[in-house]
Amino acid sequence: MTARLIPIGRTDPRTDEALVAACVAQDRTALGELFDRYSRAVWRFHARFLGNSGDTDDLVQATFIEVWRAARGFRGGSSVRVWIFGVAYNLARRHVRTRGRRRAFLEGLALLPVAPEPPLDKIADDRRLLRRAIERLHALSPEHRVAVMMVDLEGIPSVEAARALGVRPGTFGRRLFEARRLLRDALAEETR
Amino acid sequence: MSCLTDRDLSDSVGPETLLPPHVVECLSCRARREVFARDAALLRTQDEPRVSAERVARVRAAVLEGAIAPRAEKASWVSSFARVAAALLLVVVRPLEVPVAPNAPVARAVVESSEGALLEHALSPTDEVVRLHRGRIRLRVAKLGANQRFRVLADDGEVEVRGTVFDVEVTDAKLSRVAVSEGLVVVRRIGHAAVWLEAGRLWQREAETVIAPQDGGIAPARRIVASAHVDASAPEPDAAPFDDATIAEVTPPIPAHVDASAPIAHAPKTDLEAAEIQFARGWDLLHRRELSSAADHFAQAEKLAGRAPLAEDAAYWCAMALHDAGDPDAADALQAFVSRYPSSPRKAAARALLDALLAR
Repeated sequence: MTARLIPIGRTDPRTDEALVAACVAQDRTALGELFDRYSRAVWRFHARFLGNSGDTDDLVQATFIEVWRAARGFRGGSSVRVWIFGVAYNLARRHVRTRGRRRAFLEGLALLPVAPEPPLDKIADDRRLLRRAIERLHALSPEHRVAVMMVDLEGIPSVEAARALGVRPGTFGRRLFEARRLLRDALAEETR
Repeated sequence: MSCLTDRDLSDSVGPETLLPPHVVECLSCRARREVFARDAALLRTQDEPRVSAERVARVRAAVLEGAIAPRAEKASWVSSFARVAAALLLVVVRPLEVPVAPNAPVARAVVESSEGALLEHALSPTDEVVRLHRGRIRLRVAKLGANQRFRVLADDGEVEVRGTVFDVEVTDAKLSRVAVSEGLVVVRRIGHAAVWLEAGRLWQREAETVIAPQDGGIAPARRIVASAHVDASAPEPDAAPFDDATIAEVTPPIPAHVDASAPIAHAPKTDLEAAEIQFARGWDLLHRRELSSAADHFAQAEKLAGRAPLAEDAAYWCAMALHDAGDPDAADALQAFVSRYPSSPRKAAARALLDALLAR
């Protein structure tokens, strides 16, 4: 039988850092809380990174198990949220490389959801443009794609994202710029 | 001033970036920068992936099932060499003082363990946890701040304190004995009401009673450095059981007036104690899948807890029990939780369940 700890007597919501520390001490309720806080963001991350929802659940699961396993190595160099994204990225990248899923996720592009209702931004009124942007995003290399996803989609500052991914800020900035330029050119062609 | 390169403009787009002064004045640069910002905004209009609450629950359960104790890392010859070199350096040069970062969390407890104890000790600025796998430890916990916690975890429960001296023993990864020398301790176990132990009280699992300890001496203890580690080299636990005699030397001496026949769960003195008991009963029922009864106890716990943080836990689990029971009141309970505790870390999970319910 799997034992579970009783999550009672909480004096206040635990901080993310406290939850990671508790994971080190094998407190599975802490892992559950981290899951409750960030699973949706991780789902979004993998869905956008892979463009193929078929493996998303497995990768979300693998991400949090890796968080549990790697908690001891968390040094507080970035926020826990960004660190988790870094873990998710490493798993997603390995997934793409080792299983040759590139074709699968390109095929999955057709299944990607588009905004059902026109958003306020007039640019996004054009679904065709959004679809083109998503296609272009998935055509980028994993390193370029994750740069756009972390900064432009998840709102993580460049420096923090670079630290979580283990690359120099300058390198990260260059990748971000190259990705944005490719997106810009693709969308410019589309609107021409 | 000359116009900025595309790379410079890209660097100025994103969170926590500053708009270069030149861009404010230069229409051309502003327009080029706007393109980068517009594309990012366009991508953000993608829908969130649709994930049902059932999928979330399934993956969550799989994560918790898959979370097993990490294996001890194998030492490579490189790391072994590095350790030997570091040790030699320490011996040859002089003892080094390790600088402590200004914001590094400071241990609030001194942990002493008897021979054979296996434990991990982890801390953050607001939380300190000792995971005891086996054996006996004694803890001296400094007074905690309002937002600080200290707990000892075992597989079947936890012991939480607020500034005290106490001993804990774990057998087969389960709490077996807790003796309190100073302060107040609460012992919480799965399927059992919370037990409050004052100074001079001893709780033991087999007897299910709180008793007064006898005279005797405590086994030699060694101090554990307060940092996250696993004492994997510890030998197997003592074959001899941890008898009452080992408790009595806990200082200060145990008062003689302790009632050996006192029931394990004394009558709650405060609403909060009563709330803890109601919560523990709810938790037990929840695990036995007696969902409606569990929801009733959680609702009672929330009511009794008033403004204490326990109320939030109780409200959440009340809503979860109702949800799992397929009770028509589940949506109202989830809605109430979301409105009442907007800053709860569980708000997103409750909201997701609520959305799924409403969509049905």
